[in-house]
Amino acid sequence: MIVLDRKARVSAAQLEAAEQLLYRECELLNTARYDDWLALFSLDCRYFAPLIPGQEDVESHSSLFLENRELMRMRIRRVTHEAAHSLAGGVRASRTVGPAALRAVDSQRGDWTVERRFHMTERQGGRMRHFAGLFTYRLRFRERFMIREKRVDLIDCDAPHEPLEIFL
Amino acid sequence: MFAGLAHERSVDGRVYTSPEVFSAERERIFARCWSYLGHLSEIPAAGDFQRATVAGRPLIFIRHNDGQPRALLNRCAHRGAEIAGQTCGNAQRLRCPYHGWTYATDGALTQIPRPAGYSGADSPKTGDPSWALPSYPVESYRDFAFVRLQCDRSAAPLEEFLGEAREALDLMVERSPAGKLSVAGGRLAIVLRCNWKVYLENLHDGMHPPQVHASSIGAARNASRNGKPPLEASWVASNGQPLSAFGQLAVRCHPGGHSDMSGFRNEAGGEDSGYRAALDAAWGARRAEQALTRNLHNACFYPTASAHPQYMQMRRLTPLAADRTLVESWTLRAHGAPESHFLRNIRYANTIHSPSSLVKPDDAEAYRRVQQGLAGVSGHVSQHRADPGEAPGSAGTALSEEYVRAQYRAWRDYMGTRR
Ligand code: FES
Ligand SMILES: [Fe+2]
Repeated sequence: MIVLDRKARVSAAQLEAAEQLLYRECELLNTARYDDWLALFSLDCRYFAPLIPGQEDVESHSSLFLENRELMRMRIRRVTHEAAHSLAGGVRASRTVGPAALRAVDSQRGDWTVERRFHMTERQGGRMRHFAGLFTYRLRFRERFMIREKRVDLIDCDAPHEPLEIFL
Repeated sequence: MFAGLAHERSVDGRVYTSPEVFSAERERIFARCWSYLGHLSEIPAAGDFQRATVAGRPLIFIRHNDGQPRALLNRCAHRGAEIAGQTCGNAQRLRCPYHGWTYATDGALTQIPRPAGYSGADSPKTGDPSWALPSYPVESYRDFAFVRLQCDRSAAPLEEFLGEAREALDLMVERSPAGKLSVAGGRLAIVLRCNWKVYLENLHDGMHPPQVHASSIGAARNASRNGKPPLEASWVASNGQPLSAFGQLAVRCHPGGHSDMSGFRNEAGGEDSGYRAALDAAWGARRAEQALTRNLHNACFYPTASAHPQYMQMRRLTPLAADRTLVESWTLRAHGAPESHFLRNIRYANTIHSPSSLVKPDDAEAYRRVQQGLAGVSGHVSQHRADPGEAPGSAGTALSEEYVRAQYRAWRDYMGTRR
């Protein structure tokens, strides 16, 4: 992992653990193992995709995605539901990620902010779609790393989209 | 030419798929009706603009320095380049990026570089109205602005066009003691792979939710782990009521294809007394009560807009092609109403109108299947379902297809094929 925060005091073992976690995060989504994926997140987690570039306000501004653990679970139940007509033909997706970079370490809480570029191709309903942007993770280390937040900044977040069903 | 495609209780599938029908609709319906442009709060200051596409024409919805909104064709009078490139912004003058012809915010041509190159009576000249950007009439009803491309003398003014369907807009405005709304919280935009009519024909379709939305209903029912479901889950789960409940939802058809429907949930109640008193003072107790409790769901302003007053949502529909439709939605903030209402409405918009909505994909899939199913094969589409004993145009329920038949009565009027 690339360390951008020069003041961060992190061990090689922590960097390795975080790298492993983020690898699993993408691969579990790529292989549609959603419950295992959700288990990587903390109880107070958030999945957030802004509707406009640089969006921080999630209360008085709409979001492309804004989900706590309950709503993430709801999405998983829906996409794995037998009557999800739109997914009847199946959905396959491949997320390819760039190098992970440790942007900052919160000196108070010890939370890590890690970001990496991604490209995702999704095949569904007889067509291919492409998404690109930045994943930003907030990780919390207790006994192990958990994901507190995954933020997905799509480069075309403010453009019209066809339905977005699976997690990016 | 289009006679015979739409009957009283069925239509030919080609009304959804034929490119010829689609381009005729652009001219006969979308260029002739009042099309929803936007809310005036989107362009508060002189020079503020938003782009819109109406009947396939690129428009600039802009506030002129006289304070009035204008709808200008976004097409340079020189060689036709699009002038405003961004979706929105502020411009005191509109300068074409190609050769620099410049227009005022009312469309007047104010500057041509190297004017000496032009001579002769029919040459481009600044100040000459025939070289201005075409400007179309804009009318607004309680700050909801609509445009009409064809200036047909017999055309009804906006208020008359909207008729009783205006009530949905009134209900939203009267949530504000000051009668003032503003768009806030961004625009959600979704592209549907279906004809625009497929979308409108679903607005009061009470037969589909339990069936189409089974996946999100199932997911939402499982969401309450410790008894109290999140608000989002209860919104999603409300599609899972028995059909008999949908049979309780009253649908009204208004002339011109407009319609509305009563909704399930009533989120009003426990209003803070200061707010309620302010509403009473502004509108009188009866109207204030209505504004808070009358729940019109998916009111349709045929054929370009839909409102959901309960959650202060306004939607604009833009047909992109015979098989593609853009639906944009905005949340309106009622000035003087509790902030908690607005925050709840943003959550509602995220849940129901975002492209990531758990509800929307199955609707979109049903629309897409209709579009696919009708492609290339001619045949009829049934709109026979009625409530027992209903008469044409009468109020029915969400289990009747009368509102679809009413939309086609308007369609035939516009398309000139009414027998
Ligand atoms: S096309 Fe606009 S100035 Fe030439
Ligand atoms: Fe639906």
